[in-house]
Amino acid sequence: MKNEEVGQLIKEYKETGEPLLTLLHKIQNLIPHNHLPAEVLKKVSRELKIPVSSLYSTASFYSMFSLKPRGKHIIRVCSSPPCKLEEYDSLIEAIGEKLNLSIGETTCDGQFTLEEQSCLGLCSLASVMMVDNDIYKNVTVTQLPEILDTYVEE
Amino acid sequence: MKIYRLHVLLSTDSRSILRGALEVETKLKEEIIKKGLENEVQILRTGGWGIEEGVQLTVYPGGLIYVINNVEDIPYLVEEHFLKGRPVKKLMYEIDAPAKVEMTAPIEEEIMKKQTRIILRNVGLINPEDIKEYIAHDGYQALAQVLSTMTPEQVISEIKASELSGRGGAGFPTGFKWELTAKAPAKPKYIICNADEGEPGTFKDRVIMEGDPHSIIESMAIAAYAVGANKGFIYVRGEYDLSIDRLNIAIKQSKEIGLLGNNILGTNFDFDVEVRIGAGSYVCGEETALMESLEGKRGEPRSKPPYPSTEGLWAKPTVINNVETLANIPLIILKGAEWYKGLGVEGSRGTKVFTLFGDVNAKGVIEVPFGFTLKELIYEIGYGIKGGKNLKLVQLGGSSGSFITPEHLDVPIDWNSVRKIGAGQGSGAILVLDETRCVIDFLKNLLAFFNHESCGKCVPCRVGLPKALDLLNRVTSGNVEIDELGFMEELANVMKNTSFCGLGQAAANQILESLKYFKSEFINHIETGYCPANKCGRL
Amino acid sequence: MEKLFLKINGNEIEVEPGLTVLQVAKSFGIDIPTLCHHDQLSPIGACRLCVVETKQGTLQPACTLPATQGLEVETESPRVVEARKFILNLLFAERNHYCMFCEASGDCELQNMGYRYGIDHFAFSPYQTKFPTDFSHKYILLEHNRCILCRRCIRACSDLAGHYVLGMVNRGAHTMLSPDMESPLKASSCVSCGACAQVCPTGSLADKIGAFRGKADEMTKTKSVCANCSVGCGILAFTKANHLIKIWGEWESPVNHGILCELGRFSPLNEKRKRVLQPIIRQEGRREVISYQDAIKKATQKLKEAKNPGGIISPKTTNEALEAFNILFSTSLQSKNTGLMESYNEKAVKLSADGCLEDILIANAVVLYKVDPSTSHGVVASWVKKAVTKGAYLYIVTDEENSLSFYATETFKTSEADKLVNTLENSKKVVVILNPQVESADLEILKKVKAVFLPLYKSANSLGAIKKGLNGFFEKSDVALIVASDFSGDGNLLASLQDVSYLIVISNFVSPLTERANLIIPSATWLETSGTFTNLEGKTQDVSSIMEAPEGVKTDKAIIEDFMKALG
Repeated sequence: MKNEEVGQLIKEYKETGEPLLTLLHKIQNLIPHNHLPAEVLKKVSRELKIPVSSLYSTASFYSMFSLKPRGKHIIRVCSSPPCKLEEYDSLIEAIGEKLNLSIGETTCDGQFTLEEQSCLGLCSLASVMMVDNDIYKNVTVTQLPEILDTYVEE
Repeated sequence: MKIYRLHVLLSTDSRSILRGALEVETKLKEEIIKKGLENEVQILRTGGWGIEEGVQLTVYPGGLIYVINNVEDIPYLVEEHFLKGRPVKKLMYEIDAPAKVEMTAPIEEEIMKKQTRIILRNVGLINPEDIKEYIAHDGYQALAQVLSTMTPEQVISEIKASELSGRGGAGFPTGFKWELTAKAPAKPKYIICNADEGEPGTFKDRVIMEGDPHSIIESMAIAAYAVGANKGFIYVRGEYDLSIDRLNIAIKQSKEIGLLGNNILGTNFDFDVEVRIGAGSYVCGEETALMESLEGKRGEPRSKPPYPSTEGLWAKPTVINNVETLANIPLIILKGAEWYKGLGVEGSRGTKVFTLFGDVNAKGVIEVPFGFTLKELIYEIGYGIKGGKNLKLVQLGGSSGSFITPEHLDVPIDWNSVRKIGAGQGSGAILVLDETRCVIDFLKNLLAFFNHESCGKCVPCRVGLPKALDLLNRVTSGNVEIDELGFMEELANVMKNTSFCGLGQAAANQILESLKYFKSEFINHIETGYCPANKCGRL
Repeated sequence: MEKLFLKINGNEIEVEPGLTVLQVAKSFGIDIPTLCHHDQLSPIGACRLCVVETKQGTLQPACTLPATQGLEVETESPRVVEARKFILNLLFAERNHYCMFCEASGDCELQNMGYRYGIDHFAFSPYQTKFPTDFSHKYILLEHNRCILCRRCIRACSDLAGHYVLGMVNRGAHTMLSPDMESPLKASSCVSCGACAQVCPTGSLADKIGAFRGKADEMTKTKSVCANCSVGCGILAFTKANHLIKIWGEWESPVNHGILCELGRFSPLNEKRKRVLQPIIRQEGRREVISYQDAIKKATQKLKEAKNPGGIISPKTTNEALEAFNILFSTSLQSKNTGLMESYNEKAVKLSADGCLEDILIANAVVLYKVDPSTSHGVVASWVKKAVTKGAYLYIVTDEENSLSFYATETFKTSEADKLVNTLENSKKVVVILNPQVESADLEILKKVKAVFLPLYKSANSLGAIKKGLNGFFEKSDVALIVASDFSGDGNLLASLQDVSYLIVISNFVSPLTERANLIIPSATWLETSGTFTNLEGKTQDVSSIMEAPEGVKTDKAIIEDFMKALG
């Protein structure tokens, strides 16, 4: 799985002494389905001589890393208290209804994963949600179908 | 060099970009060319003013602020103001308060009339992606002064004399922190800028990084010189893309002209900064957890002592300062500690950046000297509660902050006064909740947040949070005895007293304060199922 | 150093600096309860059970709180006790802690704390989630339902044993203990050293064989030395009614500091070989049980009559037995025809004059020269991993797979072994771990390296035997005595016995060697023997008998002495 590219990233890491989290970010961005597969972590472990348990401990700690495959698009709804004061609950419910999805799950067709997002520092624009790297502000349930439709494959 | 007749400052912070700043820019350029004004009107990208509406255009001379919510308004604006010289009143910033407040006067007079901008001095005024603009606003002069005329000891004593305190939440005296690291014998030493701004409701550091990244780099270099470090790291949340980009651009530019690297400004001082990216963990804002994360491990806090000043990153002496704290440094050096001490009040010198949001009319980022009351911040700068409702509660300092009830609105916001009422000002977030909000629902959200972010290392936090949430759910479902509230209080006390780090302690604090101020609301929920916000889902 | 004065529970105490409050309290006999803390592990302050109240009214964990000048703490104040009770309540409610169904019941530190603080009911609604139980591993069970996430096992596996198999996965309330990447233990990189089970305070990680066999308090504990290789690890054996229940690493041993390997911890528990229990003689193709006295008489008579009596002894027997064996042949039988069941290159032995296992831990570079310690000398492999984790370089010279190659900086083919000399030129402290059966050509290369040499002899007392002049087989013999311990006798040995017309074997177990014997005398195993072993460093350590030998079965030394008595 993207063996060569991952190898290249690891090589760069060794040369520049880049931090581990940055390397994992880069690898995750490279892998289809936005995750860190076990075999890739094993490769990183081997090449960098970091015990696989330590690597896994680290990777599983951070919410931006996923150890299991995710959908093509990741919907992240900000779940910090300021956003929860606004539309959070109804957004989660509406997404759930539209895509038959709850938090942490991926749709059967592998298109969408729904996740909670920690505070993005955009509290003055609550509720905030992201689809992939696109941020949506002041989101309401009525806008939701339109937003999601732009990501649905034709 | 070209001389322009009009300078248009376009807000391009992350929030403005979300509101369409880039589209506004394209349209502006188009219209300006259409009208043949390209040699007369200059568009400059800046950070945001801190106004939380639309895309803001500040036009100089004059300093009028326009808020663009629709790009279709741009042709009219260009024609009227830029070509014909007639300000467009309907596009000017106004606050949607019961009595509409119109901003027709220059920005310095209206928006800034109550504010004092030291930390945010350049934000909204300069292009954060151009080091020349920072330099033109006295940027890197403080560093030059430090390197050419001051010893490290002098720098530290100047910072100590200024009584600058940490803005991350604890308020530890910055100069003293630097001194501890300077005196630590081990080498090498490190400077870390804590830019892991995860506190819900807090986005001041983001505003600084997006609007004035060089001020952080300059300050870190000064700190490094003072303590004898040659390497610095800025640990930024993984979610803050634009901050990361702008910091990296700033570092690259500084390196290119020798303001970072070896022999800075011809002296024998070497300093280098790297941006390091987090990956989604609130607890990494805790300084020792941040260091663990920087070292590529799980972001779990370490036992203290030893403190970072003697054993920090890779067990070496480390200064770790918050973004906002650092942004003060250059002006303290340039204008002197005495000047700085003239701002604020006894025990809390200088200014503080607050993020004002929730049920308030004018949301935004504001900077005022210490000593303003919440009433002034909310009712004068924030133009009051939305819809003219009553205030129920202010959460000061983000999710790990303190509850301030209406009777304490007159307490000045400074370290000592806030401490006297048993609160803390934390990160400076001001979340305003009106009378229709349900405290239990709010508390549930807070605890869910802490539960999601708990690292799981210590028992009281890891196990206590799910148990507290469980109890709360039973409160809202009415499936609980009233004396169990006493048990919940006991649980919160144990969590507060025994949790490993501030996360568990802060979470417990939210429970204790909810029970302290709003116990009757709990009892109402249990006994009658009544929820003021109609949020708790029981008929 | 400046003395510190502090107060614990109102009593003035004077201590050296550099200690934690917990350490100070312990040294003055004040018992502060702990769970995540373990004397052998670095403190992490995770469970918060050891909180004490300071004069300022804060609760601080004693395990990480440094004892400082003027500190005043209370260790059992009402607030402290309330907090501890609450924390215990939280722990009991986190997962399944129905103690009566747990293997550790009686030995469980959580359960004991519950008793100590009078936790007799669940303050919170108890656990709801069922956590997995992992029975896949041959020796170790992992029961997540009992886990209190104290991380002792992780620290033991990583910091003490150097294996880094165990880690934490996820965070907060979802935190779980995880071997590798949540693999079943069996499929993980676990090397079965068992350190995790030794430190687990509950029944979450336990050794399967010893489980459900009673409380440790009711067992006999004996300190001894492991006989499974030449490292000489200190062990603590638990027995009950002359049955071996479990083996722990002895924390105080200067050799292994409590760490063992699979062989050391589990192989004695898993002993399936058939014991020789009575002397047997083969006459005219028939086997007959004879009395011990008759066996001694027959054996000594045969040896006395022999033209060229020979003897081979096992390097797994004690120095005292080796001594007696030497006297038997040199004095009683006037024969120099003795040997050892192993043979080593004397020059390799001489290289090692001052090598010490601790050297590995402080080395800048470690070389594994034609040797793979993982399966044969597990603790050496542990030490190598620890050294590499601390930043040492590891060079491996081999033509085969080496189980430590993951950690290697570079691996050399044996044909390029001479590259070592240049590679190691700038390393300050080099330790070469070698196979002592290497050839002279290898030694020519190794001589050029400035290093500490550690030859990995095969057996517990190989070096003891070599020091007594025993190395390699005898020349030729008509009547031979073999003191075999648990050796079964490989093809080489059997072949070298071709000319022997009468073979006397003293053995623990039935084996090809006893099949070939004319006379078999049963002997006590090392578990049933006292004496000394000399380990690969040259340390001579006491071996204590852990169990009683079966009736009528004597130790090697006693049997040899009976030979001498019979010979006059």
